Amino acid sequence: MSSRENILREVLKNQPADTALPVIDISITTTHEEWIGALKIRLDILHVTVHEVGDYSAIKTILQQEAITQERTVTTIAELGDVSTYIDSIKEDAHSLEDVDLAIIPAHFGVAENGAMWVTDSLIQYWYCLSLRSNWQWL
Amino acid sequence: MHSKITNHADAAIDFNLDEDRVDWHDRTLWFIREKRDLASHAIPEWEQLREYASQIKNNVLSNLSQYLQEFEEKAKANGVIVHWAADAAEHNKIVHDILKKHNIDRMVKSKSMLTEECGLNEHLEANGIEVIDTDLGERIVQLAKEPPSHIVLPCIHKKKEEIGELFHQYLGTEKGASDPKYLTAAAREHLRETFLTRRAALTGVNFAIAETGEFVVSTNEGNADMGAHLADVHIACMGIEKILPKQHHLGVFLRLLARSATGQPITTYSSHFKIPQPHQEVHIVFVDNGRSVHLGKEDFRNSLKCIRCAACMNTCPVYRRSGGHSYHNAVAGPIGSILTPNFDMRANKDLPFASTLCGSCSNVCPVKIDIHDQLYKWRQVLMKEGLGPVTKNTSMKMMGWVLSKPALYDISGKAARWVLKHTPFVVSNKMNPWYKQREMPAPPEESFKEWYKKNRG
Repeated sequence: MSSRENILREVLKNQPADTALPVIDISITTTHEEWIGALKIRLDILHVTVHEVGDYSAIKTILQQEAITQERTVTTIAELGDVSTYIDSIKEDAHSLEDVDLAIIPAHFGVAENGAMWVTDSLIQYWYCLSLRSNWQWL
Repeated sequence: MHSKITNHADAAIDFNLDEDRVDWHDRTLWFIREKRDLASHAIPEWEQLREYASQIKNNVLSNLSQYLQEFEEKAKANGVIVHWAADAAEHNKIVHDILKKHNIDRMVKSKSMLTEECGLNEHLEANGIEVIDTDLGERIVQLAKEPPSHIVLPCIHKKKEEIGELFHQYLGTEKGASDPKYLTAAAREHLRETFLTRRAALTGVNFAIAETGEFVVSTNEGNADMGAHLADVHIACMGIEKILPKQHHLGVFLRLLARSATGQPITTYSSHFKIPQPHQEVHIVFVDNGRSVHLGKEDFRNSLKCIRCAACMNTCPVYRRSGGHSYHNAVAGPIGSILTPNFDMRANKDLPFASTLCGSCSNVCPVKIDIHDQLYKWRQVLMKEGLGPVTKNTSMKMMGWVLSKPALYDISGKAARWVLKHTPFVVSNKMNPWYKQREMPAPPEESFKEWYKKNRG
């Protein structure tokens, strides 16, 4: 008998009687504006710089100031290709991103309660360049 | 500094030889406990979350065989290769075989207590495979040739000066340097090169979701991501109890985990792995190693709910003052003391006694494991099995005999009071551990019985 069958047989024999899953009900009554405020406070605690912008040109202005101190910047946002090197994250060899100083990437959404960003492979294939960063800015 | 002693009390004496280290270790962990309190109090529904987490985990244990099969089916459909290991030896062989197949002799590994439990590093190194631990704390203890002393903060027992010396020796940093920023930067540079050149990466698994076949790895340094995304082969090893039924259950645990562990709102990286990247192989190794037998122990199965946050360690007055190595196992502290006797009762018979039974561990546990109750139950099992400390066994029997004879009890009480008053050196000496580092109160003039007769009789 394989280990798989042995393990499953032992687990089935020893698992206790079924208990029900809870119905998770955490009502959220906070308004959108309150969440934005909460997010800013959370990011401030985490030493993350926040910029509120209306369009890409405002982002470019910030990036042009930032880029002065950065040697190599890359972005996966085509609209920012004139202020940073646009890379197609699917085609780019991950190893070539070793010396990136600033990466500008989009996120699906941010979480007000903990300041996290939700980023997927479709937005940036090689997460590892995120992991090399220690300076975060929210736009 | 690392003790090879396999008895908690003796190893704790060893740790306590350096009083400054004990004080700093104690204060640092208590600081983290206080951060945990602040973080948890900021969530109004914190207790509700703990209750949900406990109920979800209870459901997992009661349907584990089904969830494991469901996860396997979904993971395979996602393109992941699934392995099953009955014990540590089989787990180590599976990992080794995968590396051999790809002709790989160097691997990066992010933090995984399971691989510590299985002795994977030692096994691979004995077979000519170099393993670099990429979690900074793990790398430090690896360079020091020590096991981790804490599941979240593996080198918490080390002073920054000791780390500076290690880095000077192995990474070529300036001699005498102990600035944490300088040392961290040096480690980062050293590990960066490692990430870029290794073709295989091994990670642990914090949560595996049966509904989708994905798994989640939580780290603060992003080292799991760097390793896994740059490697041709990603091996993820998990204990069979790490399953969650549905994706929407994950939020409950992610909200609890980091707050309980370090007081952070969430770990810096919560990485979800589901479908392998093109040209990458992803393997998942399910490991039993005694867990299925443990599941059958009604009084003790609850400890399989553990999510390895270490809140019970940070709050434990015994752990804080005895250090993680004194528990002589990969998982130390209160949770280690109730997990390890399930796997080897004889080798870990000392651990359930390494507690004051104050209950603080149970109070902070995010999944409501009755840790201090289980410690007490283990003591009863061990004493019945004749595995209790000999001195305790003998003294308890003597005490039981005296307490069962009221006249003898009265005489013994009087004799003890007389000895304490007139010849205190008989008990107050180096042979009696009760007098170590503490002064005992003056003996009472009379027993409670005598006082009661006089005043209320």
